[in-house]
Amino acid sequence: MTKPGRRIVVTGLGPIASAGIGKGPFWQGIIQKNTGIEVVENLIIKDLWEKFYLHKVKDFNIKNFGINQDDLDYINNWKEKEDNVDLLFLLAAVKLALDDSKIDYESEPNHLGLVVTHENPGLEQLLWKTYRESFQLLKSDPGLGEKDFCYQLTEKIIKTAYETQTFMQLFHLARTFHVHDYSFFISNACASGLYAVELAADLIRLGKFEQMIVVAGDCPDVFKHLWFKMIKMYPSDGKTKPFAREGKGFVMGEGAAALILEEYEYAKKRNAHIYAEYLGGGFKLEGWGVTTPMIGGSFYKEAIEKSLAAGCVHGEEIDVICAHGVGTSASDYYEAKAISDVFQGLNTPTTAFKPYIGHNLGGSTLVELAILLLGLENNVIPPVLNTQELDPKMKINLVQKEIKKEIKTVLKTCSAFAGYNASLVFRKLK
Amino acid sequence: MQDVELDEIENKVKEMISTATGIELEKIKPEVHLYRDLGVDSIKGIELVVALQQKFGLRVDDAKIQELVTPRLIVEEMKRLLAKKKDQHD
Repeated sequence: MTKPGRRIVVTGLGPIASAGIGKGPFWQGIIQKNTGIEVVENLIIKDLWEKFYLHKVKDFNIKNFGINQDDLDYINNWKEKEDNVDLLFLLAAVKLALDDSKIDYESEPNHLGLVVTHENPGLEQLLWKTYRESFQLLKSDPGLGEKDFCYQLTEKIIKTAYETQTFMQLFHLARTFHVHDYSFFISNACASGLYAVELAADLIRLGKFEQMIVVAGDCPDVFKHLWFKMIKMYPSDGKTKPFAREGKGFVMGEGAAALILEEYEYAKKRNAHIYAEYLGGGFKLEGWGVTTPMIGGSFYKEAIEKSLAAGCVHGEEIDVICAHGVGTSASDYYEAKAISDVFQGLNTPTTAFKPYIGHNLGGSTLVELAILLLGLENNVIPPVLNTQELDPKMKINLVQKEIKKEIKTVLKTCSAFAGYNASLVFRKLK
Repeated sequence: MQDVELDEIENKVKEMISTATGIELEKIKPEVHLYRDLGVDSIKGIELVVALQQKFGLRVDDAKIQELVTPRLIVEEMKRLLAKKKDQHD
């Protein structure tokens, strides 16, 4: 059964993660279990402050993506000398996806729409700069009064702070890729990427666009690491273990991903490569706690059910579920319960990709969706890594060995901080 | 929301703790520590608070979950929230 109206397909993928940069190396990295995890050391002057595991992107250079140098120069001339790596990753991901989809964005006007999502672009750089400049000011003049300190610090950090405003990320991306029509910056915590796909799809369904760019990412550093460590969501052994009996949290990962969504007839007419059709999504907001999932509530389950209903898909048609799988007992249990309630008795294979690429926070769902869609195309379900023993409370069929089989329909789910629950269904076209 | 008289709350809370945790009603004394003495884990603790919210039509601050460690503390919190809600409606 197909939903009436304009159909949405994915015609471009631009993933960047520790597994690799760009569709080919990225997928090979996943298959070869190249997690790119390493210990990152943060130094204050020369002293070690904090060290932690991170899935790190290697050999990233924004000059390697074929983005117009004048546009990169414009960005560099505008901002402070520190690289806003969040923005650079988003730029690179979009360029990779546009190239993959063979879209000529440089012709003016190009009528592309754009949805950008990120939890807090440039925040790490701003915090670093604030700390450093504060320390320097106080060191150079220990008697500095509060008023003068505030004035002088503001002068030092104001441009970097300005750059963290979300409209500035949207501006730089739109300017670089010649987007002149409707564009959005949204944030729904870790579920951001899935909300962004739905928003872009809605705009195509409404007939406002034929082609939309969706992009999400994050380059987490020490401040985000310390936050998760403080709330006991960081595993000191550096292993994210989704749905494990001994799950202690997650390791973060650098990365970004962009998708090109396109109206099906439009894509077919230009002979675009089609990865999958986006059948529909379901979303439910708990409106309760920030870090506590609403265990015992039905919001997550309802989000999954709504996505199946939106896509006119029955549970037994789902070949694989890609869960959020953050490796914390409460969140994993909440997720496993929702999945087992909806897919009761179906034994649907369920996997999770954070052990490969880390938790990319606001970009996580889109990067993981890129893995899932490449798995769909290649008829491979990558297994969950690190989880030796499934927690018996989690009544799911966890994929622990790679599965190679014909895959037709896949589900991507997420239960994010602040109670954003999201679920999307994709199907391979015949 | 179901209307619950304040003096009924204690019994309702004990019944719900018993249902949510599978612990016999007689063992649920006002001062018993749910986590230390009755083996309730963090998942069951959240589940219990969510069930109480639904039962009494209240919203409990999720940050308070770790403070609500005995039936007496839960009852006091339910009474406080119900009284606050009543004041707002009067």
